[in-house]
Amino acid sequence: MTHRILPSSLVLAGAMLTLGTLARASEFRYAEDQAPGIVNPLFASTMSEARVHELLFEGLYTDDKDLATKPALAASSQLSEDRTEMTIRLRPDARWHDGQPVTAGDVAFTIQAMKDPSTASTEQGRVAWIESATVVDDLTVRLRFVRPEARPEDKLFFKILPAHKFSGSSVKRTDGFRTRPVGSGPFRLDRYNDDGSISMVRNPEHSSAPAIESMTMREVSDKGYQAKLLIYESLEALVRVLPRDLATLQANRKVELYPYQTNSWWYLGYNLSRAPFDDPKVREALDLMVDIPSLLAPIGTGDPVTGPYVPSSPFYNHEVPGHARDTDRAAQLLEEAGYTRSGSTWTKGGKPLSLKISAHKSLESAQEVVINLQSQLQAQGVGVQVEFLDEVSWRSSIWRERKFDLVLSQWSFDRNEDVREQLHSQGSRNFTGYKSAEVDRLLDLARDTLDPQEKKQALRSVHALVNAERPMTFLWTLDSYSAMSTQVRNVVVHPFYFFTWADDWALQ
Amino acid sequence: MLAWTLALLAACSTETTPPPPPAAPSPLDQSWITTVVAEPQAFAQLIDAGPRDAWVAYHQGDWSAAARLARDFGLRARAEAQQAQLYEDLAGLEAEAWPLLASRWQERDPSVSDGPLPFLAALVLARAGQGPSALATPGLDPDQRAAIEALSGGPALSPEAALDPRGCLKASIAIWRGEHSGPVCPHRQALLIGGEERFTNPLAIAAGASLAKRAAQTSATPSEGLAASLFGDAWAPSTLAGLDLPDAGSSDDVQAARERARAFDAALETWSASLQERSTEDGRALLADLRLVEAARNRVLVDWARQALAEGHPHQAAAWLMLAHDVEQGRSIGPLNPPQRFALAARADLQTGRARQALDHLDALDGTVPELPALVEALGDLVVLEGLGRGGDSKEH
Repeated sequence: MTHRILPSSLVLAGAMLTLGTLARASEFRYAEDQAPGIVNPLFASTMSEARVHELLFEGLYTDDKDLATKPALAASSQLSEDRTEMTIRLRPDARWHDGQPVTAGDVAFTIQAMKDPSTASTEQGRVAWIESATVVDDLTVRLRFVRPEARPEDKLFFKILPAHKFSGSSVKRTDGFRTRPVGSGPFRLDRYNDDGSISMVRNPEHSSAPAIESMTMREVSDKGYQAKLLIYESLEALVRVLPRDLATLQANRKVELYPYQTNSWWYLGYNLSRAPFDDPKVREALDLMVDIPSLLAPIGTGDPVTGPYVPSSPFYNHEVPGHARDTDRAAQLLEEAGYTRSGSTWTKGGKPLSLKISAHKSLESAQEVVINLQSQLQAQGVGVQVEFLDEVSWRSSIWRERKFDLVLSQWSFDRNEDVREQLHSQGSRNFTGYKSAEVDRLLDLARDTLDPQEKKQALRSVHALVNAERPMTFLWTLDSYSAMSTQVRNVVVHPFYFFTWADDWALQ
Repeated sequence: MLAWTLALLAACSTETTPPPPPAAPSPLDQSWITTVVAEPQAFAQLIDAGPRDAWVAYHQGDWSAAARLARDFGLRARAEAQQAQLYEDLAGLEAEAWPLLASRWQERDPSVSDGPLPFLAALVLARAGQGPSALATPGLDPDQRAAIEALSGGPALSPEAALDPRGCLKASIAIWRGEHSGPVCPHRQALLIGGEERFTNPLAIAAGASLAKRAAQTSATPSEGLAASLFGDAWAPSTLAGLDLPDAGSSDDVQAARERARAFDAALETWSASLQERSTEDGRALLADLRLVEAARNRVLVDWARQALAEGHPHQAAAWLMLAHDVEQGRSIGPLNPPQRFALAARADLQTGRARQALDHLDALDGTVPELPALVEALGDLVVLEGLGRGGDSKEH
C-alpha cells in the first residue's frame, strides 16, 4: 500500500508525529518521490531504484571519494597482454546478506543473466562489451571482451546478484527476488512497511562497518511536504529539493544542502513508430508550437537545452541555435504535411490532429508542465489528452509495448553522459524508436575512439543531428540539490548514486 | 537591489532618526557593516558619488563593469583588484588542469607524446614556477625550450622562435613577462602547432591574470574611510581570530570544516541580531535588503576555501564553497555568489576528481573573463578523456 501525505496541516502533523515516533536514535530516514517498483538491479530504470541498489548491492568496482575506480567485490585483477581478457579474484570475506559467500559463479551468473535476451534487463547495455564470463574457481572469474579494453574495471560497476537465489540462467522481473532481495552491500533489506517505506539495516558482515544502524526510504509523493518533514526532523535527508524550497532550507541552521547534479534533462519524446509522429514535419511543427520558457517558469529556474546534454557538458553543441516558438512556421509545416485548419482544429483526411501526452506520476512537477503544454497545443488546434501513469503502467505502456504518442520525462546521467542507450538504434532505452545511421555511426565512434577530442566532436555532431531530426523536443535542465540534517556527519554525496559513501556517514 | 534600496533610503530618511542605543561589544563590530547601518546617509552619499552604477556593479560582483563605470579611482582600483583575484583563482585551475590533461592522456594513449600536448603542459608548469620539471619534458625542440625558459625568468623569446604561426603563445609569454599588453588571439581558437590545430592556449588565463594584475597595480589608489572597505572583506583575520572558532584541523576533514562554519554562523547570528537592535530603521533596511551580513559571511568562507586549497585540503574547500553558495540564485553571480566562489569551486572539484562538476561551476563564469573558453575546452577534454571507454549509467527522473 502506498502512503500519501495529504495536503492538510492536520494530516501532516499526524504524519510527522508518527514518523518521529518511529525514528530510532541511529535511524537515517530519507524521502523519495516514489518507492522503487521492485528491488532488482537488473531492472533498474529510475534514480530511486539506483539509490536503493547502492545501499543493498555491490559491484566488482566502485568509486572512491575522488571518483577514482577502486575494488569493491574484486580483490585483485589481471588484464591479458592483448587486453581482451581480465581475470578477477574476488574478496574472500565477501558475504551475501544470507551468509552465503560471494563467488565467481555469482559474477558469471549476473553477466550471463544481463546478456540473456529473455531477461530483458534494462542494464543489458552495460555488459554488451563482455563476450563471456567463465568461472575459474570459487573466487576467480575470467571475463572475455568483445574488443580490447583499456580500463575494463571502469565499466565493472554494475551490481552483482546471488546466483543461488535464482533458478535457470535468466532473471525475470517477476521473480520473488524483487521483494526479498539479497545483496552484499553495507545495508540489507529488513522489511517493506505498510506505508510503502523500505527499512534497511546495517550489514554487520560488511567490510566497511557502516556507522548508521538503519536506513529507511520513505515514499513521500507530495513533494511539497518533503521539506517540512526535514525541517521538523521527521526525515534526515531529501534526495532532491524542489527549487521553491531551496531558500527555506538553506536558511535553516539544522539543514545543509549538497549539490546533486546528475546531468539531467527534461524532454518530450515522440513515438516515431506511430503516425503522424513519424513525419518530421509534424514533429517540427509541434516543437515550434511549444513555449518552453512558459512551461519552465512555474516549476523553477533552469537552463533550456537544445540537445541531449546539459549546457556545461563538453558534448553540448553551442552552435545549435536555441529553441524559439514560431506558430506561423508550425502552421506552414502542418500544411506541408497535408493538414488543413478547419475552425480551431488541424485535420488530415478528415481526421483531427490529436495526441496523448503521457507522464510518470512520480516525475516532480510533471502535472504543471503537462497541463500547461496541453493548453499551449490546444490553442494551436491540436487535440490533447493527458495521462499520468504509475510505475507498472509506465514500464509496460512506454518501455515495453510503446503505446504512447508523446511522453514527458527526464533522463539523468552519470559523469560520462552516455546517451547511446537513448539514441542508438540498438539502445535499450530508445523507446521513441529513433533510428539514424549517421547517429549510430557517431555513437559507435564515440564509444570506440581513444581520442577525447574525436569523441567530443562526434557527440557534438550527434547533438546537432538529433536537434534537427527531433525524435524529442529537448526542454531544460534544472540545478539539483539534496538536503540533509546537520545531525548527519561526514557526508560526501556521490554525484550520481548518492549513497556510495554512506558507510562513512554517522548520526550525531 | 542596491539601486532600489538607495532610492527607498532617499525617500524614507528623515533628519530626526533617533540615535541608536550604545553598542554591545563584539569583535565583529569592527566592520564596515557597522558603519553602514550606523550612518546610512553617509553610505548613500558615497554611493551617489561612485557613481551609483559602478557601486551597483561592484555589489553584484561584476568586477569588470564596476572598474569600467567607476569615476572614483579608489573604487576602480578595488574592482580591478577583485578582477585580478578572479583571474588568479582561475589561473590556479589552469595550472592544474593542463598537466593533468597531459598525464592522463599519455597514460591512455602514449602516442599523444608525439604531438604538442607535452610541450603545452610544460609551458603551464613553467609559468607555475616549476621550470626545471618543465624543461625535463622529453622531445622539446630548441624553440620550445626557449619558450619554457622565457616563462621561468630566462631571456626573452626571440622574434624568430617558431611556436605557432598565429603567434598566440609568443604573445602570451610576452604578456606574462610584462613585455606586451595584449590582446592575444581569439580565445576559442585552437593553437596551430606543427600543422595540428587541436589545443587551446594553455597560457590564456595566466596571460589575462598578468594583465589584470598589472592594471590593478597601475591604478592602485588608496581609498579612505567607508569607500575603502564597502562591500569588501568585512573583518580582518585578526578580528575573526578573536571569535575563537573551532579549528578546521590539519587534515582534509569536511566535518571539521562544517563545524567551523556553523560556529561562525552562530557568532554572526548573535552579532547580527544585536546590530539590528542597535540600528536605525534605515540601517536595518540596508542590512536586510542588501543582505550585507550574508554576503560578508560568504566572502569569509570563500577566503577560507582559498586557503584550504593552498594547504591541500580540497574537500574542506568544497564544503565551505557549498556553504557559501546562494543556491536560490543558482549559477548567477551576485552579492552572495561572487565569481571567485565559482572559480575556486571548480578548482576544488578538479582536485577531488570531479572534473565534470568543475565545468558546471565554470558555466557560471561565462562572460566574466574573455579567456575562459580556452580553459573550458581543455577541461572538457580532460572530462571526456576520463570517461573514455567507461560506458555510462543513466536512469529516468
